[in-house]
Amino acid sequence: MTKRTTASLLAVALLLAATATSAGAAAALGGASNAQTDTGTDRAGGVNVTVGQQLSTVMVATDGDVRHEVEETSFELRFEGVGDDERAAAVAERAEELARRAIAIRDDYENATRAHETGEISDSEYAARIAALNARADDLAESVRRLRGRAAGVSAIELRAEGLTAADLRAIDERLDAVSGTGAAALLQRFTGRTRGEVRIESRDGLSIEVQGDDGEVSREIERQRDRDTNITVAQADALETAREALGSPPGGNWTLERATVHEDDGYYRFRFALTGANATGKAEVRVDGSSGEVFRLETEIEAHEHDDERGEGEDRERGDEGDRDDAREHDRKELALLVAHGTPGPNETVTLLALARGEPVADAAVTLNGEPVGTTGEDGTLTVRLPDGKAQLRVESGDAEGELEFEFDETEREHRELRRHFRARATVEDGTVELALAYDGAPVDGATVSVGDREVGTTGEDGTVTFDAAGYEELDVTVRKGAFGADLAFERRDGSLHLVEVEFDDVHEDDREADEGHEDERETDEGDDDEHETESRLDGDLEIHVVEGTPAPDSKVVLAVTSDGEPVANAVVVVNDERVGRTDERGRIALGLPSADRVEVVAELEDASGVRRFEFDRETSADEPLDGDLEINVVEGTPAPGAKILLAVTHGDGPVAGAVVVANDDVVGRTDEHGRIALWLPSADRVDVVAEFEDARGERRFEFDGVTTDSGESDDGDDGR
Amino acid sequence: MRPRTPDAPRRRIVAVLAVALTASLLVVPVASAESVQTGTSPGDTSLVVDLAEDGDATVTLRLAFDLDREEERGALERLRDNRTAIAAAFEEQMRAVADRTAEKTGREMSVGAADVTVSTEASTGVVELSVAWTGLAAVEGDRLVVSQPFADGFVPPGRFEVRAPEGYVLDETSPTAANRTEATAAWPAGSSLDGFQAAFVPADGATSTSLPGFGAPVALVAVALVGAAAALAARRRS
Repeated sequence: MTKRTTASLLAVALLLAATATSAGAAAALGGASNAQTDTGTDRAGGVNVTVGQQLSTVMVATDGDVRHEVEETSFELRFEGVGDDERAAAVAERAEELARRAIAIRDDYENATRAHETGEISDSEYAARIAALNARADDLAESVRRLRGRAAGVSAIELRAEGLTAADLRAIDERLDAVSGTGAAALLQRFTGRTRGEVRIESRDGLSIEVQGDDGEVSREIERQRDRDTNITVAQADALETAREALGSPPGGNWTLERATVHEDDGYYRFRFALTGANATGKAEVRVDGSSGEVFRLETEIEAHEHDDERGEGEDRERGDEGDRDDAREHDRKELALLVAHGTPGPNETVTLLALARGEPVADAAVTLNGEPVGTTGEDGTLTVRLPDGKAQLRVESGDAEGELEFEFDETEREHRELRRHFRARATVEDGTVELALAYDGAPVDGATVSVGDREVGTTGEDGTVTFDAAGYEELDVTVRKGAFGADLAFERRDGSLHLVEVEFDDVHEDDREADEGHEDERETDEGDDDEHETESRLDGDLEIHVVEGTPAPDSKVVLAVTSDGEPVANAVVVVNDERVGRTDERGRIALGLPSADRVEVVAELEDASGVRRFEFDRETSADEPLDGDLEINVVEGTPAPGAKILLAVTHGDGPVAGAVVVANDDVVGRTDEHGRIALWLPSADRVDVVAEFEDARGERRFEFDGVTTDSGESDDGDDGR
Repeated sequence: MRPRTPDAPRRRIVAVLAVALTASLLVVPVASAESVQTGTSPGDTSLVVDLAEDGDATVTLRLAFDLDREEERGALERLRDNRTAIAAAFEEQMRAVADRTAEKTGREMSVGAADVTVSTEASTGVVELSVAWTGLAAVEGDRLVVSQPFADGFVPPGRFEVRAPEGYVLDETSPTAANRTEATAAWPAGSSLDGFQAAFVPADGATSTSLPGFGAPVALVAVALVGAAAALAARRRS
């Protein structure tokens, strides 16, 4: 018994010894911890970025960047590996995935903000989370940008059939707004150690971020919730004053209004300013709600000149060299504000504009609309103009001063115009049987269900045609459906033939939008910031790439022109088969050598706009076979206007068409040269129809000049099927 | 020949136990280190700190990818082609962290030799971004102590693991590791590591002062065995 007790005591002693050793070690660690650890408590009014947070952010950002790159490449390989018919589905699927992630980022932002508001997390932790969300948002926005470029090379009808529109991609960007602004980006720079300096962040009354770097760069961002009223009842001049008050005075110089934008549908004004008269470069953007007159978004960024040479490879590089080149000009720039004084802006509406300098009306200021002169301001500084049905960009100049005013109208209608431009429906009738042929951008639309009235009459085959009995009809109302794509076509029978007189496209998301409005009103008042929200501040949509010199072939040299709605796009980045070859010049042109490949993909990108042009050289066409199908007519020089001289390019598929006969309003102008081009003076008429014909191929282009409006880039409804 | 005494069996048992106990201290670290797996499931992320005796370390961010599809394998191959740029960016950012850590600790530190490796394990691809970090751990006599930059607001984005140098064992950690072996300690993603410390000591000096690496499970087994041996010896003698 005694021995057993001794043994037990030995065991207990051993256990105690082991426990005491651990306790001692723990105590030592605790002491060391106290001695070495600065837990990074927030400084009064500011945020202390701890080294641990910096490491976390680097990990999150690196993880995201690498995964983003792998995923993008993976999608690119998948996209390249499928046929044209599967690409739309691939793009739509990818868009859906990106949309899910955008929602997750938005949710994480809202959760973090709630946690901060309730005191669950400190300023420092909140700032770290916003920085990490900005990293994720950056990668996602880049994915959207690339996807937009790929979508540009896919039939819009096939994309719509998959339920995807350009607005869907913009909606993804919009969800990232709260964590993709100037302040959030500056936080990421700070939390990854690229910059150092003071950080302030608040979530009361919206998100407010201010980052002041040791290098003198100051970024500031304020995001507030808007009211739900999307009417504009506040005068633009008053909104401008509110924006100025919110901006305050920069440390040196002045905030000079650069561009004002009216977002009629979304009910807000946007003002962009440049810092002038200071030894620094600065930009600011302020958005003012059109009904409450309150500022709901403000971003400023000021960078001291003396640090320009020290820019790293981060976003400063992204901001671009053009910003530097503009510095000197910005420094001395004088403000000339162009505002809406009377009238409600809208497609084809008439408004009175007012030019102001330092609050005083400016007389005799020259105003252009989409590049065309529309008059000069009167003694009271006003000018009345009629707005077009698409994008309206007004520019005012007086002496050294200049200013811009933009309007963005219904994005859906813009997309529909693009559809009309490429969609072709031709119907022939013989012995009471109608053959309807559908094509988009020259490619047959197959698998589309066709109905006449309420009666389904068939589905288009691989050649895009369907035949049906339509005896007795004087008019044909045809409905075409493919997936989520829908179009109503109205044909008239004239002279024994069927003529397409009207095309209307369905709004793909009409039902979804109505449902969304009901659901999301409760949680996101800015959810209604749809189509124009992003587009007005940056170029967006599709870029067109034209061959203006040379004949595309492997190893050939060509000159390409990049345009947007018929206007040259300067400074667009051009990538050929994944290799960047340069930027377009002031005329939107770039000379390049095509690689020695059977398939060449040229991508042009600027801001949010992108375009893709593919050349395939492995097709052998017999010279004996006559050319057929559609010819494209593009303006490569000059601005179409009554009596204006322009240069047109006629193309078929990827190449120029030499020797095509060109007719303008029934007068033969001549034949295209070896580059497929022809110069002509447009007749002095409100409407000019240009037709190009070569062998069995034919193309049409209509220009309409109505009052001050100029449809310089696109044909309208009337040029379909005629 | 030496005559057998009644105490001989007891001595043999004690000797066997002592050998077993010593063996457990020496063998367990190696076996356990192999048993600790960093995440290799697609989508997993882990951060691994491999310490050297002099306080230097290799810090590795490990990312796992799904390679079910052909294009996913192709994408990883292309990443391999671009690894120089990725490594450079990683090194730049880690250097900034190291510079601040050096300021905070007063120790000299540097980051270099960034590398990116791409490998595949069945249908999983693994990308590892690593840097050599000199002076990461404090050398306190024969102890190695890792603290900053992990002690100050660091929240691991994935599994976080610290590994002992060869011949060293884990002494103690704060906060308590979610998974630990004799030579490694690991915490899951999202762990709060404020005040973090992980201390390592040489394995051969472990029993002399503070039973380093004498983890609770091993200690309990050893105590039980010693207790049982003593009881058995007592019973036989009685």
